[in-house]
Amino acid sequence: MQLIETGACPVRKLGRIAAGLSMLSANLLGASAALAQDSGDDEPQVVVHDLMKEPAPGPNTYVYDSSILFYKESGSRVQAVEPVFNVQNYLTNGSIISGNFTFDTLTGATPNGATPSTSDQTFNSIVREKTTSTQVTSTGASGGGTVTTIPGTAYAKSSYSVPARTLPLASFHDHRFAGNGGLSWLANPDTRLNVGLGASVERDYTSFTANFGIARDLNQKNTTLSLSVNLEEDISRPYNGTPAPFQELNSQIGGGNDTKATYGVLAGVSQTLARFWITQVNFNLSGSKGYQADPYRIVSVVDPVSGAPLDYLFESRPRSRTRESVYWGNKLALGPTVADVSVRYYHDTWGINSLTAEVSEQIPLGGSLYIKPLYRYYHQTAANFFTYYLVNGNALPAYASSDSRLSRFNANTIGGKIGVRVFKTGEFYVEGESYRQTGAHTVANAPGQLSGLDLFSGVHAISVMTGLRLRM
Amino acid sequence: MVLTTRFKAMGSPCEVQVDCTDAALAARIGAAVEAEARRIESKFSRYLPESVVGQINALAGMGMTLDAETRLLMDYAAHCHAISDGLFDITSGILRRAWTFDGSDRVPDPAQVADILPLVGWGKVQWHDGVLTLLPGMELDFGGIAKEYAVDMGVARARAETDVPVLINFGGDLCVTGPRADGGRWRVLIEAVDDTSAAAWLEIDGGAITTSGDARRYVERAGRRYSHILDPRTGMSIADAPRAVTVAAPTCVEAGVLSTLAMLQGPGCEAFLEQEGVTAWVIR
Repeated sequence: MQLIETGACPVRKLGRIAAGLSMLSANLLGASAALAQDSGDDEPQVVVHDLMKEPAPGPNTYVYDSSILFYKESGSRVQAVEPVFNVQNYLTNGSIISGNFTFDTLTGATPNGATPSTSDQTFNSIVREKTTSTQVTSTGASGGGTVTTIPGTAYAKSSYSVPARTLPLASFHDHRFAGNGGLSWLANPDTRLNVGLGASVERDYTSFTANFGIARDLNQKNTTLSLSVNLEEDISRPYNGTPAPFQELNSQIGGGNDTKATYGVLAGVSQTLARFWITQVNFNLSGSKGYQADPYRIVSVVDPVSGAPLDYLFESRPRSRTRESVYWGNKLALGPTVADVSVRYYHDTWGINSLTAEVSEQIPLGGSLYIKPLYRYYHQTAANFFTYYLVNGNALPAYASSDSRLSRFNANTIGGKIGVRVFKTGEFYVEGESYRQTGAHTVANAPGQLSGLDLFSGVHAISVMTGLRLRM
Repeated sequence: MVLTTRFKAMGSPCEVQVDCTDAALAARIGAAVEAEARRIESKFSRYLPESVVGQINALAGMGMTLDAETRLLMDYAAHCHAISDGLFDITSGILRRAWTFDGSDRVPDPAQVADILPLVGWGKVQWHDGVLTLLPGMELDFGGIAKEYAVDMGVARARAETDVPVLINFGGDLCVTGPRADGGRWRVLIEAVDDTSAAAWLEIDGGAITTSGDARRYVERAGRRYSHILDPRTGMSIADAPRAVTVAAPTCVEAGVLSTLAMLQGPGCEAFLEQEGVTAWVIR
């Protein structure tokens, strides 16, 4: 039997590899020992990224995400095509510069607010004459009708008809360009600040936004507190001027542009509860003052006995609105899947209370593919001034609108996303959603013909989005 | 007097020898070292789907942020890959699929090796800022590091508990905290690599010893022995590698990488060890 003897570290000149290993090993064991003393045992061992969704990219990395959204409401209502381009630049010092550009094209028809009737209905209004006729036919409530100039004035008569027993729709066509930019930076290793500015421009609506936020990590990054303020200034420039509340449809509109200002504050806390569970609670409070009505939307005034439409008035909404919401979201890593479960409760001073519940789960299929089914439930109560119609002879209320978005309804969304890895650091994805509103189609004690007509104007929409995300 | 705790972990017989007469102390140190071994096994074994390595392999293709300890080991493996010019590679484990080491003369089909090679190579792994992304289908294997790391971490645990001399031996990868209580050397039996070679006694009073060898796992063809250790750059077996290399170094992790690299030199094993100034014993 052979006897081998060895002493502690024989003094010999080490080669390049052995010397390198000696240093590396000492570093590894020194650092491991320091970790063991920190006993930072609550750190999650593996946190999976939503393929590319939350990259913790290396120095000076760019992430580009371009997508196109197709949106279609059933019944030849709104159709939209929306290309979006996003870019984020992660700098070595932890700062993030981001930009986002959207260009929408919307076409189709939306309910003009009037009730259906057992007879054909004709909607006459007075519009401002524009330099070209295409602009006139594309205004909010004149598509598909006729426009006759009134000689010697800057006005024209617009008229369009809707067949009996049909929900009155007005066609429109619009473009929207939106862009925003943001900068986020570390004030110190635990505190991140961010500012953002944005603008959105349509032909009859312009919106400017600004926000400032601060987020602070506590408790070894297991807790994050965040606070942000948001400001928004909107300018509404209706094609025919801003109608006065309850002004008759068939009358000359005197009002010019109008504005709305919104101030919001959001406070949130996110907490790592376990290696597999992150939870977040947000509280949001915002107040808006200014013009909040739809300048193209009308309300039918109906006969108290027959239910037949007698007149059409522009809608009226309060000029102030305060909104509060509480959101509770959870991210759960269950084996290789990641589940998102959230609920949101919302209340505003218009009387709308809503509840949103959403569940989605990202499931990897092999190494480079994942699917993410989604279900969302939504319920809201009606605004206290929502009504399908006004009854002739009754005193006018202060406010009234027949906008289905202010009515009581439920909505169910079923969707899914599929993502596949491309070009080593990229992701190609396709996302689809079916959104269906359900609500009351009739009103109890509706006068005459209205008791037999479908008043519900909620939507069923399908959207498909496809995009490519690249990191380089 | 040496009091010994024995257990089985990481597929190997493990022992913790404590040079004292205090049975309670020896048991406490044995338990602490065993706990550390089990912690590391449950975290880095590729056989356990819930381990970090099991999750990394299951999620190949996706980006993932790793915890601090795993990041340290990943950096260590990355540096070992760099200084060995790609010879040490923790992504080479899946090459085993092409081989059957049963003592017969079946060598793998080159087409099969060619199919697997695109999934081998640390250079194909994205590893920066704590975020790891493997190519879909790739696998990591800390087999060449984890057991040695467990020995070194066990030594750190033992040193934190006591000044009494301790020897930790996990399946032939061993390390001592220093000379015996009487100033003498520890005497360890290194098992024979196969039926035809002799066992050896080894005496050590500091640092670590590891052995790489192919024992019964080899392919013999046309009179040449092909080792079970594969060159990650070509997928081919190393011809004319020694049957075993035992290396002494201050820590078990560096001894382990050195003995693996020495095996991978094939006929150049002895020259490599000489050039690197490493204390080692080679069995051919």
